[in-house]
Amino acid sequence: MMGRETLLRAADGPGPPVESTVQALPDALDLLRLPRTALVEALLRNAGQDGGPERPRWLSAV
Amino acid sequence: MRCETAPHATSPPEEPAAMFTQFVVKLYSRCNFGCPDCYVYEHRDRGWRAEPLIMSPATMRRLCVRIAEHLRRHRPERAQVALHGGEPLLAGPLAVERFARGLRDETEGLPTQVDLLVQTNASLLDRAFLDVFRRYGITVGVSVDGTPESHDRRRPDRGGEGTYAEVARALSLLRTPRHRPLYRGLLCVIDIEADPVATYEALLEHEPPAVDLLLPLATWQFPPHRPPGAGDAPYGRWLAAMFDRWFDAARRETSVRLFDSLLDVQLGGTSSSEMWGQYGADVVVIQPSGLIEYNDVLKTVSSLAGRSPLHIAAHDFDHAAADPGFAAERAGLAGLCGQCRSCPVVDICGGGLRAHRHRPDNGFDNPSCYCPDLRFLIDHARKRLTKGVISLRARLDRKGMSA
Repeated sequence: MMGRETLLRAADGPGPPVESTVQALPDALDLLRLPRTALVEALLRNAGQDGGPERPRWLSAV
Repeated sequence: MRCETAPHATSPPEEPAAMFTQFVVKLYSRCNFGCPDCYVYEHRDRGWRAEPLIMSPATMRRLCVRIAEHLRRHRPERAQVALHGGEPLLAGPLAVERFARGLRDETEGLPTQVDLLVQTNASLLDRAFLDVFRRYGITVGVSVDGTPESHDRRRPDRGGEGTYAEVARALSLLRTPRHRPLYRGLLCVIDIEADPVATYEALLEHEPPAVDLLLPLATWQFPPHRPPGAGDAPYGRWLAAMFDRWFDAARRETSVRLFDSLLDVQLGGTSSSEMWGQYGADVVVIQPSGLIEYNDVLKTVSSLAGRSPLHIAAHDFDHAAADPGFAAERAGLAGLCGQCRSCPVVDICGGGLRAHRHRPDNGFDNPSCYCPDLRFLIDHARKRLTKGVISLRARLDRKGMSA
């Protein structure tokens, strides 16, 4: 499921309780109805099964 | 001890494959700008002085064959070939076309999608170049440092004159409908003296499809400039202010790779930025002479840190990928110092950029010299992410929009 384990692992630091955040993660279908903010775009990118690149891109070229 | 270079009897199971999907091609070894912070010319390495001005046609042919044989052997889904410098457009449109034609010919029919791009200061960008780029599917990233004031101060020409006006003119040409599909994005080095929101909005004026932000290259020996009284995480605070401006827009105005990747990693995805995630980029640099080099941001560390003993005339890229210097970029958590390995956010920052970890007495066995800044931004983004998710849920529930 989208990001649940990662959010739990990164539980220290400021912010609301992680459990409530994990429970609140919207489904992709709900997200598609919302304006495409940076947050909605991020949640949509990570809602699917497609992984990103295996290795990050070199930083000296955009 | 430099734990990252300790030999492994067997590779740890999580170590990525020993191959490259990113090839940085230095077509030309000089630049027409005189940027005081340039890691190629103004830091520790002077290797460019021994390089020919321009890559010869024979070296280009050899390089294209080497890239194609590596991709044929490993069959990655995608690969990226970046023309870089020095200023790559100083090679002229004919040389760029010669290389692009050679690469497209050699890689035709491979299952790998080969993205060919150029990272340029744009001062020489004109219709002749853009016609070549259109013919060979070369996309264009432009280096521009935010506001005109920042850019002119940090990216002067060789005579010391500001270059913002000519770069902005080139970006206007790149944004025209005919050329817009070639526009890849903007690369901006953070100017800690500039206002972060003004910097972001100045970049937006060029309507970039993507932006990336770079921390100034620094090490423990050559630490980043920290303004007096700015606290212990001035770059983290600067980036957090820009993050908020970007994150709070009613619609995302552009992709900011540094921020998008940070959110992706926090959501369990993978990073598109070398700044985040456990592994370095699988990048190899080829100089105009055909010398194979490590990730060339290591030039900021010492005169030899970017050098490998390899050359495309004698070594293929499989041979290079097995070299210890390249293997260090695949070491993941095992290559980090004890302080990093025990840190709760190490999965996210991965110890930071390798060059930023260096100090002369123990090599790379250190946290990043930007560690407090990275931690500040990670915590800030996580706080915004978690609050944002809860707000979204409440909004969906209020409107009865939940599936």
